[in-house]
Amino acid sequence: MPRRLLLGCLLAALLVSLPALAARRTLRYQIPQDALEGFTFESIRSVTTRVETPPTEAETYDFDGVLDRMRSVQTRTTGRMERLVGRVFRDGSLGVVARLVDVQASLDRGQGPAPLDVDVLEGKSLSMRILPSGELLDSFGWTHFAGAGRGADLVSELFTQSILRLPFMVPKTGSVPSTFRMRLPLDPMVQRELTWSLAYTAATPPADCRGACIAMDYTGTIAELSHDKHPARRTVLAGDAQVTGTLVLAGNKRLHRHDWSITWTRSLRTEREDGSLRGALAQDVTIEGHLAAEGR
Amino acid sequence: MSRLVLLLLLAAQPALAQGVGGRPSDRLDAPGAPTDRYLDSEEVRGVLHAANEAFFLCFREHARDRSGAGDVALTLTVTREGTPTAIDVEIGQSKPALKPCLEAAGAALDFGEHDGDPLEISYPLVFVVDRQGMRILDYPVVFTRPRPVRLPLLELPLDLTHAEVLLLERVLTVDAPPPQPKEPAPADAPAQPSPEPAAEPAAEP
Repeated sequence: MPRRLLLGCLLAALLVSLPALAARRTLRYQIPQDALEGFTFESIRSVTTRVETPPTEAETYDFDGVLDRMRSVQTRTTGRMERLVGRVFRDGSLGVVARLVDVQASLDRGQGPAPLDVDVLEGKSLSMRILPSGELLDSFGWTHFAGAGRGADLVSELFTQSILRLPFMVPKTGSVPSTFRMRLPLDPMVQRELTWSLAYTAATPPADCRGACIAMDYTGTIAELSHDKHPARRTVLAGDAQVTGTLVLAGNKRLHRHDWSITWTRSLRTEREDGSLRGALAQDVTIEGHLAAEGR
Repeated sequence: MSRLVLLLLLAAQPALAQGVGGRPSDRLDAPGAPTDRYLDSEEVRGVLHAANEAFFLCFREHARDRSGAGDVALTLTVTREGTPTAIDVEIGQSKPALKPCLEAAGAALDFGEHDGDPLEISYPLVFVVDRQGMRILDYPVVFTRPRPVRLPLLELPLDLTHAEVLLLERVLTVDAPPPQPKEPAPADAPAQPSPEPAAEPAAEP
């Protein structure tokens, strides 16, 4: 048999076997397949928005008036997340449904927090297909969160941080790197493309674990380059973030607690039909998030 | 050598069975899958087609002569529990007795609970009599009110009003119509005040 054909077969076999190899990691989440998991969450976001290149159309409308309401906003969102394994796929990946309940929020523009109506988030769910390592293979339901007035901005990290990809092994001395990409289909025309680069180190387990937990600190960066390809709203989002956090797995490898902090610097540019720049905004976003398992 | 290739293929067999892109039933939103928590028009259409027999009985009872039976449409809103509310039937020139019968048939529909917002739908009921007999056509389209995704990559406060979001959309993304050429003002005419900025865009994109 020609050597090239043999080499081709070998490469093809390796490529199609990668998902199975990825599942053979030493550190995996144990997500119960016969029970509903519950988590409490809190997310505090500070967003500042400024115009870098004002579109010429801004002169026609009260753009500054709306911008004033966006310039500096802090929100605090709390609630519960319920998680259930809906299906187990043939490759061992899990179809997990995560639902938000009892969501409450407040919004502060510098005059003190005021209640924010978040009924639009109540009961909404996101389905995720994940490997036990936390690798996100697919997700569905973003369309019901994404866009103005639907609240994705307040809660999107909660879903992805509830299954943050684990390092290959538990760090003992030194750090264990973990680099991965995440693709979030917000809409048929919009995909958020995120590249995470983390370094995990060993951490001290919290006292309520009684020594049975695995605690890991992580620090790293996230880079984003996302495009909205809808012909009526051509937009490019580029951003970089510094991320730190502590992930605690219970002795049975279930998620016990996850605390994180993300500081984003984002640049959003919109384009005209001919591809030229229409306007550019910059947003600085600071997120403090907490997820804690209930009843453990 | 061929044994080696065979062994390699056997090793990769579980992944090969999955296929490169996976089967349609492996999609998270495959209809009927436990991970499909949102109602789409395809699923709504399936429920309505399955109920055609009930609609047909109404037509057979009240519009057997086919008078005006071509202008009938069912409109309803599917709640999160999957039950229909705000049921309305447009019966055109048909006999009035057709309306309550179709409303009752509509009220008996069950779309299954879902996690999305209430969904407003409209479905034409086409009653035909031909060589195959009387029946309701499986109409291929269910009309739903689209809820466009607005500025999905820009982080916006949740309390912005709809008008403010539309304004942002108009300023940032929607190409305005080309400016109309202005006639030069007469030299002796008084200076015109500048036009007030529009508080709200005239139309959605």
